[in-house]
Amino acid sequence: MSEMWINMGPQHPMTHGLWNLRVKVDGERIADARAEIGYLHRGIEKIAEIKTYTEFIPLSDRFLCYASAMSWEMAYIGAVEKVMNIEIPKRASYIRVIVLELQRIASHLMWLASWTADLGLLTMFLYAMREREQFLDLMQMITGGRLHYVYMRFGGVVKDLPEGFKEIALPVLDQFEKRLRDYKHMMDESEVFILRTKGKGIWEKEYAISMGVTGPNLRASGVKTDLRKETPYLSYADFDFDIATGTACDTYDRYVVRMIEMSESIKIVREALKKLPDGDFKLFSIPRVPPKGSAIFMSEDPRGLSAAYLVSDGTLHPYRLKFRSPTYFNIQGAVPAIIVNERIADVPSIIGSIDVCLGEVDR
Amino acid sequence: MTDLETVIKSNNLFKNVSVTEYHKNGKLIKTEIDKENFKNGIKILKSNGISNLLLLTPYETGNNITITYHLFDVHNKILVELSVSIEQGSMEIESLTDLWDGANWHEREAYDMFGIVFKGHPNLERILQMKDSDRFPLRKSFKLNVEGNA
Repeated sequence: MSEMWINMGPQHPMTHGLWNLRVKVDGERIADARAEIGYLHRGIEKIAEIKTYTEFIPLSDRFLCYASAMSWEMAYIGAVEKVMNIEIPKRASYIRVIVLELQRIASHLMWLASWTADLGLLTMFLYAMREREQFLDLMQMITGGRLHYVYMRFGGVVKDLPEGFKEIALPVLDQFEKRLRDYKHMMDESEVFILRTKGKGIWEKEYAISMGVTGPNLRASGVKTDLRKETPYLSYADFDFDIATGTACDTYDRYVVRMIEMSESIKIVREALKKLPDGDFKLFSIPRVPPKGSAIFMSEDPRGLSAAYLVSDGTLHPYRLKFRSPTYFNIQGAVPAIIVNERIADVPSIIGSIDVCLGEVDR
Repeated sequence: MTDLETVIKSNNLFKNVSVTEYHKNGKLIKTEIDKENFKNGIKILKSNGISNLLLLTPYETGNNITITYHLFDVHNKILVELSVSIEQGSMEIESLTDLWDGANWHEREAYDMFGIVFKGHPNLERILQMKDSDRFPLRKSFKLNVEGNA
């Protein structure tokens, strides 16, 4: 049969942002594929060089992934703190863990909503959006913002947790934990869902590692790796949680890993709220600018391993700031490897399962 | 397989070796290498457990461009920060795409932003900017036209 190229994107419901997935089809089968990115490039790394360190905090959550702004604030601030060589108070690091894990749940729910909408499971889409709303409300209660928080500062966070937060948050977590199990059952009972996910989009382990694939996608391919657990930063070492891994390397396992991760995040938030120590929420004497030097801060973003590498020359502005976007490399590893030889109708489900966020890919 | 730290410390290709931690239990080995020995050095690292290229950051240092490679061992959580300096006149370095397929987009981005040519790269074209652009925006000579700023 004759082959032809089809452009899926830059405007396509599957892409979740602007990028172009070019697929070569042979009938229904995908013979080859290419990814074209850059439609959302805003030059954040250059803009950082003309902003002062504090001015860049709001930009770090607006310019990178808009669905998980908090984790990108953490990446940037973590790198600056590393160069400043400061240790934040215990309470501040607990609060950071709480907001980062709430953000992880909200981000995974956003993924669940958009992915199930791709699959046509609109019931799950609405449930996921409803649950996410509760977590955005919690974030709003803490930070004042729903998507872009500007909550972290060098040396801690901008304000303490509001009074009565624990009493409001714990019932939300309990209820969500129970509902999450129901949703999982509901999805697993859908035969169409299983047909469209099981055994589709196989991501071989060795290949995924060499392509720089990280996060839930790599864990679903059977690599038990999680920076929070293995090289704990902040105060992750104080909490009891498991790393979710898959075995089948397919779309279904990537979904299962994220569902488990959400319930693990609930455990972390609950424990952190219970153990929250007294003390300062911020270190108040910090240098105005970091000294000359460089540092890398790596963290476990909802989408994978994110990193910020800062080179400081001791002036008011960052000399060079580089971000590692996990999705950039997840897309590189996914196209064409995991969609080749699949049917064209399965492309939205497979590509959706890697959790694409174009804000951070194009930077 | 010997310990990566011992390998780096005992090999004289690697200069100014220092060992710290990037996080608890995560070893960070900082080192430098000459441009001539660069590819050999990377091959040594790869055969001693480095599993992928995590981050590639070029930046200007005077008349040179320093390229910092962050190489990661996924299984043992060891991060190697390898710096290599190239002259702004030549702007060439060997590509790592034959060692890791994943180096492809790293190098395309570095070419796009700095104009560094990676010898042996299969498809060295712009990735984030438009294909017909003639600018290398992350060079310091490229000034942003913003009032009140440098």
